[in-house]
Amino acid sequence: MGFQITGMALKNLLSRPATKLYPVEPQVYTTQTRGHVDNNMDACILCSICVRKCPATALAVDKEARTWTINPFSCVQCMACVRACPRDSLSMLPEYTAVAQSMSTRTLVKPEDEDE
Amino acid sequence: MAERTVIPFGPQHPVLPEPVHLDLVIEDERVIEAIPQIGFIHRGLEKLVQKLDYQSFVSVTERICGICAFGHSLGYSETIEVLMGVEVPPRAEVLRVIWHELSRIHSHLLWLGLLADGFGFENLFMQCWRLRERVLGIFEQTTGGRVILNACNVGGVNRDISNEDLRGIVLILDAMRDEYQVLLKTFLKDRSVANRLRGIGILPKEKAREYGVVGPFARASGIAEDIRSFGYGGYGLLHAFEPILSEECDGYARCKVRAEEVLQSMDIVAELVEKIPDGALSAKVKGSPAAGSRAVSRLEQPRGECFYYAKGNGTKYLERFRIRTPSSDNLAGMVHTLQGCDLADVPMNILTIDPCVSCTER
Amino acid sequence: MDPQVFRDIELDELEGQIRSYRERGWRLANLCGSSVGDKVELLYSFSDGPELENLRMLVDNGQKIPAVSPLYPNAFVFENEARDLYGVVFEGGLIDYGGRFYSPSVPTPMNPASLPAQEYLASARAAAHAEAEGEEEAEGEVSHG
Repeated sequence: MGFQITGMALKNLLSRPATKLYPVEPQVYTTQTRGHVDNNMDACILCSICVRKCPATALAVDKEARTWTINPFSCVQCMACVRACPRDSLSMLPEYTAVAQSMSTRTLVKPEDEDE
Repeated sequence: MAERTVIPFGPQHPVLPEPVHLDLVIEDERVIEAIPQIGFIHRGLEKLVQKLDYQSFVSVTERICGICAFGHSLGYSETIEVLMGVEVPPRAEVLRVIWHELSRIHSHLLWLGLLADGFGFENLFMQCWRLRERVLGIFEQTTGGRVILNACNVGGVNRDISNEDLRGIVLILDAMRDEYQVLLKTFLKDRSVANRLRGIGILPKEKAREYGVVGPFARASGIAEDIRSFGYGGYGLLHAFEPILSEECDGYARCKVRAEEVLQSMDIVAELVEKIPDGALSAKVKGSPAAGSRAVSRLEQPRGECFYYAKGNGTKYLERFRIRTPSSDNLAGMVHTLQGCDLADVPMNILTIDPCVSCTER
Repeated sequence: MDPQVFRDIELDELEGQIRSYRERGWRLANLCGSSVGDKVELLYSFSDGPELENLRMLVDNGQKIPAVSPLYPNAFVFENEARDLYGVVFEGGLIDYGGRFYSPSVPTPMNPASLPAQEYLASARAAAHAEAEGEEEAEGEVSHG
């Protein structure tokens, strides 16, 4: 029995801080970090499988308007859509959605096929 | 004859990370009776099972609680696998156990830190959380999330850790172990810690049995109950598993059991990394749970035995899903230990039992 | 994997069963309700080490059930939860919050067939109806004027 912490306290005085001086020192994302979902509209076939798989109902597909819409503020980055995509057009990118004053959606339009 | 007074304690209190309210009936400085009140964060997640299909519901179970996040997704998946008769590939089972044991390390380190903070040992608190940060780092490297891992789904796991990375995890844990030994010595040998924890909230073995307490709370009272010792899933690969016990039955014993379980979990991870089989990560899960099918399963969460019950109705939506969390089982024991204790010991007493209110209410 | 033992029992067998588990030193692992049509199903789970047994009992809505918390004190949480979410009333419980444990804003949200939930729905419907009529009257007045 005794006070065991003295050594630790002395070490604290002499060692560098364990925390990072964010934002001066930027955060490094890992390759696995789940930040936001992106869609490669050239490969997308607007099949709506991702819409059905999404547990947060953050996705919408409009076949008439040829659009794919995501509400990044509803998205929970579970990757269910990315895994379900039959054409691998969806991908998870490490950057987080930026903070905003109001919630907004992001709509991507599928370009018209050249030979149509 | 001293006068009886009722002192409200919580729902917001410096030692309580989560809202639980207690009405303390006190006489002089002594607590005669404690009546708990919860319900401040009831979200009705069990009801949500009727709105989300059984595969998507994993995302919800993971969000029941920020500390036991992976554990709940694991318990839910195991229950649905029993319900539908799915055979999980062995590699997936071992990976699940590795993530689950890492969660236990992070949960216990978080708790040890909160305990140190509770008795005013700020330095120890920060040292515990500094170590915990490394475990969160492992989570981020392997799954992309620090709290919500999203690695478990019905049928297996949805991401792999390469054998090389697994050995890297063991190296990180080995480095942590040396630093952790210093903290362990402080928790178990330091005079100021012992002064605050010894003799607080004593729950003798027979009372612990009567009140049906689980987890470290029960093991600190000498009850050798740990679901991991039954060898379900990946735990079957371990050559031996002995639950960590203490016969001292007080707050110090609970601290000791949890502190030593961190080392035990590190050993489990190291052993399983040696033994991990190769093979598939996930079994195909098709169809829906049959009408009238039922399944129960149990899992050792950081706070104790967690009980899951699922009932199918022939559609892809479950009829009922029940999670009986360790903290809701420990509530009666907690109220019992509060009876007769000093008013000044109430926060420490609650803290050593570690009620997780988000889990309790869902 | 845990053993999957489910047994159906009737209300009059309940007390004898629970006493027998208590005497054998089993602990109550779980008690929960679930809504089956206009009835409520109660599930009692008992465990002893790796052993696990579940008792299933169908009861009518509003039927009074003898509480198990005098024998198993940890059940007081489950009993009050079942009361708040399913409207199952337990008699002789250790601590009876009388429906104020979770204090849900809608009575018995998990069991729409219970009497309090039915009454609440009826009153909500009546209120909506009265409001609609009130609006119609207001519109009528405007057209008369």
